[in-house]
Amino acid sequence: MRRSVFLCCITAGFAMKSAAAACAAGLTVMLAEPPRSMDPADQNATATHSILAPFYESLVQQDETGSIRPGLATRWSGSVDGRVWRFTLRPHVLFHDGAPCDPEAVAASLKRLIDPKAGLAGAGVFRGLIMDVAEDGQDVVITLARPYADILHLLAMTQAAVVSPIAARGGTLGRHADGTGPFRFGDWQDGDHVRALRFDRYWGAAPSLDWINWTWSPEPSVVNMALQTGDANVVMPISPVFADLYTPGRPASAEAVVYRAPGSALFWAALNTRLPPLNDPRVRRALSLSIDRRALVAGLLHGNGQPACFAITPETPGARGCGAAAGADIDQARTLLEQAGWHKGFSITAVVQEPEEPIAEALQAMWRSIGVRLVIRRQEAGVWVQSAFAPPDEKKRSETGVIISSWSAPFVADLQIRPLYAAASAAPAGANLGFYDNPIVDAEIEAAAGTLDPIGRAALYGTIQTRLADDAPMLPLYVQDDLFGVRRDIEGVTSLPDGEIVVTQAHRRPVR
Amino acid sequence: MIRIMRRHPALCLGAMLCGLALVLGAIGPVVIGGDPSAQDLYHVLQPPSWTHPCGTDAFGRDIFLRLIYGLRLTMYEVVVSTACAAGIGIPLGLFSAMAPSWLDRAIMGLSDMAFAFPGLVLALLIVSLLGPGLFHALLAIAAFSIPIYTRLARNLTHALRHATYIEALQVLGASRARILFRHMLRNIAAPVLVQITLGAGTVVLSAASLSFLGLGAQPPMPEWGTMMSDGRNVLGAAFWPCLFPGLAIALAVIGLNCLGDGLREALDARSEQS
Repeated sequence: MRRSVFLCCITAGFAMKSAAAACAAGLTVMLAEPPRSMDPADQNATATHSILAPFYESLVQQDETGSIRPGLATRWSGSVDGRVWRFTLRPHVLFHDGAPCDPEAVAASLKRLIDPKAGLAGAGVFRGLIMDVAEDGQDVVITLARPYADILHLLAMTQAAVVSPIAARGGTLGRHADGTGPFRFGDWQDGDHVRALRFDRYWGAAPSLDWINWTWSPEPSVVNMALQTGDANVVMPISPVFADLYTPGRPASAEAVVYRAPGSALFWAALNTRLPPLNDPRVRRALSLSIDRRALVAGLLHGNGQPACFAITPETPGARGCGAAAGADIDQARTLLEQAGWHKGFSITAVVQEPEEPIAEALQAMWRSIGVRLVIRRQEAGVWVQSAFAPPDEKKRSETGVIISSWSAPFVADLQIRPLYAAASAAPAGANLGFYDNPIVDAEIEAAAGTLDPIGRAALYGTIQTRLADDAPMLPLYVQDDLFGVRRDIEGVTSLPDGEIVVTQAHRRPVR
Repeated sequence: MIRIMRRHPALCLGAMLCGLALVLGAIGPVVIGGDPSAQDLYHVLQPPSWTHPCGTDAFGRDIFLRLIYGLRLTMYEVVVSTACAAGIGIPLGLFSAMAPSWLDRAIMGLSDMAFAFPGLVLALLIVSLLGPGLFHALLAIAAFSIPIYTRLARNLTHALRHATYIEALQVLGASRARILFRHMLRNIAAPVLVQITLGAGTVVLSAASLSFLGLGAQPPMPEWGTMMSDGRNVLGAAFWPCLFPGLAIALAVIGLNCLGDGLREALDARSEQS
C-alpha cells in the first residue's frame, strides 16, 4: 500500500513537471559567432548586440525602419544649437539586481562609457562627443562637445545601453549581464550557449517567452541544418547560398521562412596605407577598379545584396550608387599601376576569418588579372582580431596589406564613416584598420556630423564619399541583405537596420 | 595475366587505380588544358553536366579540371613526404641496427616517443609552428612517418645481422657501409616497399586533412582537402563540390592500400608456398 502511494506521488510529480515543460515557451536562436562580452559597452559585434538586446535598454531605441522610439526615456528635447539634450526617464524601472534605474544610475552608466580609464571597446564614438552627463530631478542632461545630428541614433546603440551601477562597480558585467531589459541573465557556457530568462519585474509588457537560448556556429551548413531540423527556431544570418531552399514550393519552405531586410553589413577590404605599394593612392584605385562587384554579388551572395562602391550603404540618406562602376575596368587599372611604376605587379597578404575567405579568393582571382598576387592568411577569430587591430609597426612586420571584413551600423552616415576612416579611429584604438589619415576628410566628417540641416549634411557626405573613392583606403565590395530564417511556428521576429535580430516579442503561432 | 588477377586481385586493383592516377596526373592537365583557378562567378554551383562533368564549385570553377590538377598535387605530396620520411627513417634504422646496443636503445626509445603522439596531432603541432602551407604540411607528415620507417628498417636489419652470408661478408672484410647499403638494404627492400605503398595512402589522407583544416595547401590550389573544405559550406545546397573530391581521396587511398596489400601478398614467400 505504502509503495503504491509512493509510486503515485512520483508519477504525479513527473506529470506536473511535464505539464510545466509543455507550458514553458522558449526560443533557441543560432548565430554565426559567440558573444564577445556581456558588457554592452565593451564590444562592437552585431551578433553580440543581438544577444545583449533582451538584457539591456537605452534611453531611446530604434525600430526596424530606423525611426527613434522611447526607451528608458519617455520624452526628450535638444537645445537650438544641438549641444544640450534633456531626457525624462520612465519611472519605476528596475535593474535585474533590484536596483532602481533612476537618473543617477543612467548618468553613472553613460559616464562609465566615456571614461577613458574604463577602456571600453565600444566607447570610441561616444568619447570626445559626450562632454558631460548630469541628473536633474527625473531628467538626465547630456551635454555634447559639438552639435551632432545623429545623437539619438547614437544613444540607441547597444553600446550606450544602461547598465546596473552595482554590477558596474562590482566589475562583473563582462560575464554577467545586468540591465533593465525584459529578460535577465541566466547563464553563459563558453562555446555552448547563453541563456536569458524572463524578468518578471519588467516595467513593460511581459514577453510571452519564458527563456531564450542563444547558440552559435561558424559553419553556414550547420546553421541551415539547425533551422531545417528545428534545433534552432531562429537563425541569423542564414547564408545566401541556402536562402533559395526556402522559396515557396521547395521542401524546406514547409519548415521555415527566410526573411530579407535591406542590408546593413558593408563588406570591404581595408588596405594598409602605410605599407608600400599600398601607400600610393593610384595602386589602391587600381585594385578597386579591377574588382567586378556585380560578379561578387552574383557569385558570393547569389543575388542577395547590392554592389557597393562608396563608403555608405545604399539605404542610408546621402548614399551614392555604383552605377556602371560596379563592373571592373581592367584597362584603367593597368594604366594606373603603370603610372605608379608597378606594371610588373606585386604581392600582398590578406588576413581573413573563415567566413570572409571566399571574398579573398574571389579578389585573388580578380587581382591576378592586373598582376597582383594575393596571399591569403586565414586566421581564427582571436588571432584575426590581433592581426587586424595591430598597430602600424606590427602590420608592417607581418606584411599585412589587406584586411577583409564588414561593418554593420544603423543607416546613419557618420556611424558608417567615422569609425572606419577618421584618423582618430586608427587601429588599435578603432576600426580604421588601414591607418588612413586625411585631415581634409577628418574636417569634413566633423562638419557633416555637426550639420543639422539634412540637405547640407547630404551634400557634405556626397563630397566625402567621392574623396574616399579617389583615395581608396578601403575598398567597399558589397552590401549583403540581412537574411534570417524563422521556423513556421514562430512569429514576431524582426531585424534592426544594424543587422541585429530582435526576438523579445517572439511567440509561438497559435495552433489552429 | 588472368592467373595473376585471380591470385592477387588486390594487387591488380591497386595497380590499375594507381596506374590510372599516374597517367591522368601526368597527361590529364596537358590534354584537357584550362586554368583550374579560373573563376566564373556568374555560373557558381552548376550541377554536373556534359560541360562540367563534376559540376562547378562556389566560385564557378570546373571541379573536374581541379580534380585532375589536384591529382598532380597529390602525387607531389606522396613523393615529397614519402621521400623525406623514408630517406631519413630507413638509413637511421639501418644505422641503429648495427650501432652499439646503448645507441640502438636510445634511437628506438626516441622512435617510441614519437609513436606515442597521434600522427595528425603531431603534424598539427609542427604546422602551427612552421606556419600553414603545403610544403610545411608535407614536412610535418614526413616527421610523424619517420619512426615507422626507422623501426621497420631496424627490425629487419637486426634480424639479418647474424645471417650466414652477412657473417661471411664480415669475415671477408667488407666495410660496414657496404654490408648495410649493398647487401642488407637489398634484402629488406620488399617489406620496405610495401610500407612505402601503404604509407602513401596515409600521406594522401593526412595532407587532405591538414588542407581541409586550412593548414596545408592554400587557395587557390586545387588540393582535394581544400576542395572538400570549400564544398562543406554549401553542403545543404549542392553536394557535388564535396562529393567528387571525397571520392577522389577515397579512390586514391583504396588504390594505394590495395597496391600495398597486394605487394605484401605477392612478395611474401610464405603466402607464395601456401
